[in-house]
Amino acid sequence: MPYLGNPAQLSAYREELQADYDPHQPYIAVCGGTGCLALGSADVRRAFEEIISKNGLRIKVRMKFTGCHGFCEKGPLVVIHPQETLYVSVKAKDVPQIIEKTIAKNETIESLLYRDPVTKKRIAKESEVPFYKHQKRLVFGMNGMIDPTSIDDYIRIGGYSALAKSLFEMEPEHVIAEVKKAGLRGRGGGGFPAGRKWETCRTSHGDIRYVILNGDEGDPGAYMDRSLLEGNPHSVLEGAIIAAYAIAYGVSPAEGYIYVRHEYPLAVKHFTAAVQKAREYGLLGKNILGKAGFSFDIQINQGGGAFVCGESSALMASLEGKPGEPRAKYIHTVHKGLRNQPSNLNNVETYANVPLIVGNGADWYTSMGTEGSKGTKIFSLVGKINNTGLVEVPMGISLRQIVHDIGGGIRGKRKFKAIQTGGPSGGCVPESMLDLPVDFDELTKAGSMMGSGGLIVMDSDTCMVDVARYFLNFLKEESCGKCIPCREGIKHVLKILNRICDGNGKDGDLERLQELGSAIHDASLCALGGTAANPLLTTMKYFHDEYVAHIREKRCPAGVCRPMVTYSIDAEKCTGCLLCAKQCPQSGITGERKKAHRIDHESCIKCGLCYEVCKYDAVTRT
Amino acid sequence: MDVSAKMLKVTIDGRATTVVAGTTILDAARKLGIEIPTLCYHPALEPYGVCRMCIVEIGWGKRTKIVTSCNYPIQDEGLEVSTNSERIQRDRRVVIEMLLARCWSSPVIREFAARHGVYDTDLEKTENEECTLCGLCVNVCRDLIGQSAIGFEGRGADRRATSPFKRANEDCIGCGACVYVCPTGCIKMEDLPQERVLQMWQNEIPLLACKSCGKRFHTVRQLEILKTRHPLTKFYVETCPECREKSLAELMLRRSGV
Repeated sequence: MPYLGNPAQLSAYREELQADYDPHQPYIAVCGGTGCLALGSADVRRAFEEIISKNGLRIKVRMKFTGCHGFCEKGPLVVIHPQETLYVSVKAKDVPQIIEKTIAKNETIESLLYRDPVTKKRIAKESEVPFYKHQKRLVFGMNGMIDPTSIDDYIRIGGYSALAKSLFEMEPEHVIAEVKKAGLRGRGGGGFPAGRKWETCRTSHGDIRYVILNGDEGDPGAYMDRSLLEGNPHSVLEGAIIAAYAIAYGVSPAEGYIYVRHEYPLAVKHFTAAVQKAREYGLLGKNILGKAGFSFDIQINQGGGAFVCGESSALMASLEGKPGEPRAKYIHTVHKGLRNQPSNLNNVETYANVPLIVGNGADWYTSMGTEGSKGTKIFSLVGKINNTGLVEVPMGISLRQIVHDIGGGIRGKRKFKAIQTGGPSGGCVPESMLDLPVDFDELTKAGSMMGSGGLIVMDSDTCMVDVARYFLNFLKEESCGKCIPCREGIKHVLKILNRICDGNGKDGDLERLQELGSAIHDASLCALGGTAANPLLTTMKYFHDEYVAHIREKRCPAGVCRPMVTYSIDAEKCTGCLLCAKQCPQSGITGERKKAHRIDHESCIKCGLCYEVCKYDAVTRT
Repeated sequence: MDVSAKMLKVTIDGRATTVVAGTTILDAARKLGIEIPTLCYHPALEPYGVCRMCIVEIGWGKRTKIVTSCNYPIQDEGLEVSTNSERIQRDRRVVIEMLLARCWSSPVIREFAARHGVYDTDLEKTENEECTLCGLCVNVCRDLIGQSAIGFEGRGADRRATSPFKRANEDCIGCGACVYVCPTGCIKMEDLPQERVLQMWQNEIPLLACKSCGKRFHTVRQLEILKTRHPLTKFYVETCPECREKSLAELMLRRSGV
């Protein structure tokens, strides 16, 4: 283990690592992200290890258990380098074949390749798979190349060179200026310019400056931060050390904290290991890389599972050992944050962007993105689309491109209906607005938000009233309950929505919902309450007809709200195949073979199984 | 340089004034005689800012935003405040309705709502709930009494002010500060012959008898705290206020030679 006492030692060590590394040697990257692990990638890894150690292969081969590659739906993923062959849904039993054919003979195994659901063609090269082709993987790019538990791997690919550059070639103000010039905005949801935040924190009055990493990712279905901490923890760490230098060097001591979800055990493990290694290498602790007077270390804190603790003031309260509740931030946390000292809090993804900006320069960074939003953004793309997973796209890309080009369009024969951006308190955007670019300001203008990066795609079988109800129910559970509008308001909105979905909506409900939504938005204490009404307000704005159908006609156009749905059988189309009768859990479908069937409405529980199974479209839903 | 000494111009509802930087909008408005409704505000405690009654619209020219006046410190020159704009009136009415629906059983809250023009609401009413969760009881116990005997449990709609684990706890000294600050009067305190009962906190604390007349007048735990924190004489803490007065009068009479 080397102790890197100065930047020259870091460069020398990197050269040494690079010299030992033959880029032409076959290398198998087995995805060890949480998604692939859940699908059995640990078995695949073991199978590779056994064969490689037992057989004494003629060709030297390397195997790495890497971080998340993003295409979690098709996991476990295995990529064979240098050919970049991507194998999807790999099982342990496929491993001998991969070694024999692909590694030994350079043959591709057709059956393991990704098959495009639209063109039905098999694609061999990872970068040519549509899911990856349209992405720009800067922050995530190295996930597939390195072993997240190896600091050497990170150093070999150039890791910590941006830190060395900051400490020895740049003044703290210079680093801040570069980040400002790059236009880096907070990736956790707020989109506040990071450079400006750093600058204010530096010029604020205090005895110590706290650098806080927010890894308390709580949006349902979102796992960008998780995959980053699991797959490339050193990039986040390096960004935070650079931030500490920029904010505190020469003004006050600095201390760091990461607040990471307890429910992310692998992220905690990998980040903890990264911090320990960095300490051993002299990249954390006293006089980092030999820079006199620059000391910084990071403590790891695990969150207790409250969604609201992702809000900066609640997070800091929680770090202090108090209940995780937000406070009014009229005096910003950069002035008085943790323990009333100047505190800089950024999302982990924001920090991961910093080494790229410092290393490659702000001009390079600003070449990607829009006027107001630069660089890339990682999204967790989920819902009713063909390709789900984590995607990193340049700012400015349209939602349509994400849904259709990367996501491969809507699954099955159904049609696109809406995309929800920004997590539970984001908004739902309709088809007519799909050309909206991914941009902090544009999304806010549309009534939604960038948020931390959740993208949920909904198809024509989704009821938008029900969607609003779902998210408000989540927010009701997660509201801390401190202020009246959020605690009481969400509860009342939900009661009205439940009534509407039960077929008991009445005139005036829409106006009432609008009024409650506006009051929750205007009068809540924190951003969580302030945005809680978004799912309600946007669905009411863009899917007004659906609300009207529920309230006036007592009809759910998507056929989701059960009390309003009736299933019946079209006698003309029914062939009397008995399939629906066999499936009905209530045995409520009667009729003889080859004769039209009937649904007994008394016993029907509206589960919709008959509708799903009928091959002749004879079951109608109204 | 002392930043707080800076004087700033501020306009509230069209009336201009000058305040020391850091003054809250609420204080500045009250100085001008402009009334802003409050519920969870108490001058002896740090503003908690949860009832949202005191919301005002602030702005610089065209850009406006809504803040709570109780804890918004005036930091910028030329701030314009509207305590009663159309938007504020609408939002405040809806928040009062939410409060009213929660505390329909509280006469104080119904009177408070009526004073602000809200007499009823179609929102679903909660039964037997008088606590608004304003936090004054919890905050006074922690910040002024220094006991932290009570706190909040639960999240969101399940939030409750309570003693830990809903059990009697020895940190409660039965001082009654929570009873005193509660805006709705939902915390009840009763002195039985032997003990003081605070039903809401499940506490029964023995009362101490006055050394002189035998009347029970404060709790044993109050006495312990008083003794440890304040340099009071034994006589002072062990005698009831009436007897103290009497004995002082007697002393004065004796001194004057009667």
